[in-house]
Amino acid sequence: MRYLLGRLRHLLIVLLAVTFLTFWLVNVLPGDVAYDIAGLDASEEDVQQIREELGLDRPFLIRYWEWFTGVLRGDWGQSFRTGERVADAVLSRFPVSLELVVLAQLFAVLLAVPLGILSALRSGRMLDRVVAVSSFLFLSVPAFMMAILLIYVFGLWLGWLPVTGYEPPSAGLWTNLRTFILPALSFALAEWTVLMRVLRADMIGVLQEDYIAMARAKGMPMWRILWIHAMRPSSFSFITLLGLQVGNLIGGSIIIESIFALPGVGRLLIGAIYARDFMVIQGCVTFIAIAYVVINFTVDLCYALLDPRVRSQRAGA
Amino acid sequence: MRFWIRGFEANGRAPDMASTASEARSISAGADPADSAVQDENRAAKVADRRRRRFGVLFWLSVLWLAALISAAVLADYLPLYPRDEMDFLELETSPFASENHLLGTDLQGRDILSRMIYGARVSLIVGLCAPAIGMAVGLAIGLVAGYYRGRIESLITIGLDTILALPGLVVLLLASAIFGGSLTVVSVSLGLLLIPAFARVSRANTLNFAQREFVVAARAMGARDSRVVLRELLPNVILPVTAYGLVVVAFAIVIEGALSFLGLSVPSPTPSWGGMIAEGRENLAVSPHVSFIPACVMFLTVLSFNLVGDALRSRLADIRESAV
Repeated sequence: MRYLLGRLRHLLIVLLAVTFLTFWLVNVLPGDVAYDIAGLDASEEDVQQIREELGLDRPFLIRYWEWFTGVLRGDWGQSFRTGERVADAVLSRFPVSLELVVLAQLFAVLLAVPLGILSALRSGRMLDRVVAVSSFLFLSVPAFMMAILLIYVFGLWLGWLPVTGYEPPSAGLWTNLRTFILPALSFALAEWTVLMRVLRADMIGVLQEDYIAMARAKGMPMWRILWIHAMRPSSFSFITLLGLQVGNLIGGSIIIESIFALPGVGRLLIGAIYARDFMVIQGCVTFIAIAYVVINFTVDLCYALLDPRVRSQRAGA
Repeated sequence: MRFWIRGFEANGRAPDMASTASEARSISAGADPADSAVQDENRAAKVADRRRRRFGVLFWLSVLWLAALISAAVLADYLPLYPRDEMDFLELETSPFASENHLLGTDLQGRDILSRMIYGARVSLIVGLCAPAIGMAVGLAIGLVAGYYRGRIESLITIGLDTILALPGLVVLLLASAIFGGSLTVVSVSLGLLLIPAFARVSRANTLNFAQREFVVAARAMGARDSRVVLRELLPNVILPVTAYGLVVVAFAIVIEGALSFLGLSVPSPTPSWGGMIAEGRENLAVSPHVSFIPACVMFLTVLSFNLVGDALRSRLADIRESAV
């Protein structure tokens, strides 16, 4: 319990620092939004007036404090451009990004777990080497490159799946899922390799334990040994990594969402960056950082659930 | 200085290095001249091990590819290449090997893909080498300090690093190039700053590993100042594994630069870059996929090569360190 509280405090400090850094980055740097809104022929007074309307002329720290207390009250500010409330804008796009990330990790886990277990069982043999080499190849294909390849093969050449566009779930589950398969695969085909390697390494260690030999000697079927006895102690690094990857994917979804024209948080964010809509940028980054922290904390909770030793042992640390 | 102490290793180790009793026994057994059978066995195993660990064909192919790419990028101005921006309106989107003039074909605007690819390599390589260099220089310093002094400094540093890690990296890069305008310097520096935590963690872990060793303890016992211990005793040991790790980060940096220029937020448009070329080819992917796929293949091969070389060096270094213990 003390371990978890300590982690929580640590993560909250991180969250605070992230929002502050972003606010600083977005606000102190040159090229402020007032010039953009005012247009090219605006006089300096016009720009100044817009600044005052938006409250940009006040000191940075005061604005941060106002923004921060606002967030605590649930008010994330408004878009400078459209006047849309930032919280609404982010939350309405969030389900799309969530679906993308969850599907991507699902595909990645579906690839990583069987292949990781198999190559741990047959470590050093042919299968293990084939998996190792192919994981190296996949690791070297960035997500955006994989996206182009998948679009070409499955979208243009075979014509099986739609290339771009988004269908809401209300249009039918399959219609909705179809639009997510290629984007999710673009992520998953790179991510599974890392997961697989970690699982394989841990699994090899666990399979050498005495209690596994004991279970084998009892004549327990192999699948049962692997799933019931070996999986749990092998899954610590795996789960940590899974959590870290989700954090990366939320950030990386910017590219994939814009390639496949999915209306998620990433699209919102990149649109805001091009338009210098600082409140929206700030909102998106804060949202992503919160997601990162929540995921990390969940991972820590999973640790404690999976390994009883963590609950007591790390309490002092 | 640090070799004659090796005899202490078995019992002089710090407790958290977890030297088990059996390990200590095997070390003393190896030193026992009477036990020559064990020694022979060890030697045979070592030779076999060395043969297995020798760098393979793939490693040398990767080195060859990287050497060729780097020299092509450096010597691009002297190579018999088409001007990278010249549009050949007679040969738009020609396929590779189909035209006498353009070996790898032309893109949507009739520009020579081979020459754009080689000039694009400059962008990727400059960012790919500079950003990790910046990250490594700073990260190494931070990691050494954190690993050597521990305590409050270390926890402060950890919070700082976690903050950078919690920042969505790509977003910060996009912001930086949207605000400052995309240029090699902006991309390299901001990517370099974001790479600091990764390097700092690796350096810290390695420093922790060495800071407990006898040669460090001995240096301190002889009255060496902290700066001397860190720079003369720890740094030479820590820098090798960190550099090997750096090669893998180079691959990562090239990928990130590719993603940025794919989004049009790295070097501005007429300058060729791999990511930009891939993005341009997207417009007519169905008809002439080679416009995207050639730079994609080149980038893939480069990233793969850096990964392979880095990985091979890393496991080689791990072996050397193990055998030194």
